[in-house]
Amino acid sequence: MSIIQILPFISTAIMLGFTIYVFQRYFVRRAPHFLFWGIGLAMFGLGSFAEVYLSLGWSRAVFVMWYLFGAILNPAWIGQGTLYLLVRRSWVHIVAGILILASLVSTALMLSIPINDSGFHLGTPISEQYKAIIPSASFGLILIPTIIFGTVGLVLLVGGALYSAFLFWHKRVLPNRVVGNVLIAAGALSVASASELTHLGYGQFLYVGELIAAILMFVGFLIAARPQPNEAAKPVVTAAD
Amino acid sequence: MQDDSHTNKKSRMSRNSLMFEKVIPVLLILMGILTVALILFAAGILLGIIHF
Repeated sequence: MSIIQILPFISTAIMLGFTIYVFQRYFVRRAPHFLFWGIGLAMFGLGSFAEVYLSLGWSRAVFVMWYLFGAILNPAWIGQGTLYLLVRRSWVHIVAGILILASLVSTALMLSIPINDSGFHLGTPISEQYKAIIPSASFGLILIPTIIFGTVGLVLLVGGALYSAFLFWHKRVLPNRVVGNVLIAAGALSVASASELTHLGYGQFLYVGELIAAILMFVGFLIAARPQPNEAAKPVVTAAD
Repeated sequence: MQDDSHTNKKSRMSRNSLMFEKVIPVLLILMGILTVALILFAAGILLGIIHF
């Protein structure tokens, strides 16, 4: 196995465990933030799985899945989960509706663009050759939702985690939630930075960035979710609550 | 079995902790700066200021 198979394979395995863990919490608590986190994390995992698949052979459907779930949709869906957790207002449902609608439009857009099958070269990471597979005229079109979804996800997920960490740190309580949210933010920043570098043509960092993100976010979530004494009296909510 | 003083210690930060007095605040600031930088970068791409 080569490094371009091993890194996304480990990321996929971690994200599978992470997704199952979050969905288990959703089925117990029925809180919408777990549902959106679970869907977003599943998208992240599908993106990593597509990288493993495309390191072994070509499939147009898997390539579309990689870009749609891995590059466009997953950050905003995870971020929407954080928004549901931190803001208990009715307008959050409207934002969720806009997200679902925008996701459907992006899916239709991604399915409609031409794909250059002959641009694929086995043995090269997909993150280093996707611009040769998507014609430049179409790439300009899908870049807009890629940037918008990514930035919204970055603001909500990283901003939410940093905000939660700061609140607990400022109140000097629940140190596990401070550390957990710092790790979640660091993980999200890792994959966000790697994605930006990929856009700039440095796609070799994406798989490492994803693996670091998968590890840090899962560990951060587990630490933040660990039950603490006196937690019943906690004054604020946080990621992994 | 844990008594109240022990459980309170576990759910509160130590005043003398290097981790919570120095490391965490620095990390929060650095990650905040990186987040803003990434947002500005993304805005630069959308506005056509950054080309690739």
